[in-house]
Amino acid sequence: MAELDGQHATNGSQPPEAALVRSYIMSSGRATGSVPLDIESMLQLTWKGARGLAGLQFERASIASLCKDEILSVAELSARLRLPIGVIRVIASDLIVDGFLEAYLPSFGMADDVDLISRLIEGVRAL
Amino acid sequence: MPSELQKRTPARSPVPVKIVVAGGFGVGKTTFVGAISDITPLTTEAAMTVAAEGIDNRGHVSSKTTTTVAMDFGRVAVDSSIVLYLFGTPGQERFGFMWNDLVKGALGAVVLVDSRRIEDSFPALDYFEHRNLAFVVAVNTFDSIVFHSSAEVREALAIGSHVPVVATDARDRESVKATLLSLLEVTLEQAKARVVRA
Repeated sequence: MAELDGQHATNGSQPPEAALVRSYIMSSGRATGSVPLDIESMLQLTWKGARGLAGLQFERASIASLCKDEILSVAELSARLRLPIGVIRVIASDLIVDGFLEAYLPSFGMADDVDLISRLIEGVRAL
Repeated sequence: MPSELQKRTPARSPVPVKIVVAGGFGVGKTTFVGAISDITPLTTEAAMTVAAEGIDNRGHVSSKTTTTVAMDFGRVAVDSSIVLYLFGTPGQERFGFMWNDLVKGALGAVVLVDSRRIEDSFPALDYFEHRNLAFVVAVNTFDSIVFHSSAEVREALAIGSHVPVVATDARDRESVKATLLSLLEVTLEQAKARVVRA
């Protein structure tokens, strides 16, 4: 992963532009995926994904492997793999379309969901 | 025979919920997130394109057209299905366009204020007011010193009485819980009001 560390270099030893180009080559130049994933959308490996894991390569393999034992958000995958959020979005969205990952999206209309907010209040109080 | 996959699949599907923690640089956003997070706050970077403009803080004329913005975030398992994600926003005004992405779908926001540098919170306040997102103002009491009262802060920020202004200690778990609860109470009241109107 040495070549990916460049985008975290802050001492100017390596131009961040170089890493950025590399990142978007991984997602074939696309900035958005076909499945609308938010940064907090959570991902889990499916049965098909578990069976096909060995055949995946590069970033597809890294993302799928991390979602094998834990259900992780787009943001967590980005942090752990040190890849920009946009890249995770695109690759994860491809994996969902291929049936390798399942996504748990934030509930639509959450701000109007009295039951969900009440549960949140109860849960945070009990923390 | 249950597989590993079945065993670790929770009984209920996870429901991610996002709350945004905004405020000026160094106000304690990451400390606030870390005080309640189940995990050590993680940092993620979003790459973005910005128009080359101005002079950067090292005095060089900036010719960069791309930059990365770091966000710290944490995760709290609230109950058997709700997973709360707390995202610390990059505070700088010029990253405002990134907030759209970050704030989309958020339940609400906590605006952390250092009462010695109140103006640092203006971009966040403007943004959330504009977006009609529920928020609370939390004055971080560094070393338990309250530099200004909540009433003074409220007046200085010119915010309406419907927005709670609370004192918080970003290092203290109970204090952070109380701040989140004040935000959740606001979101609950607003949700109930909308249900009644509908």
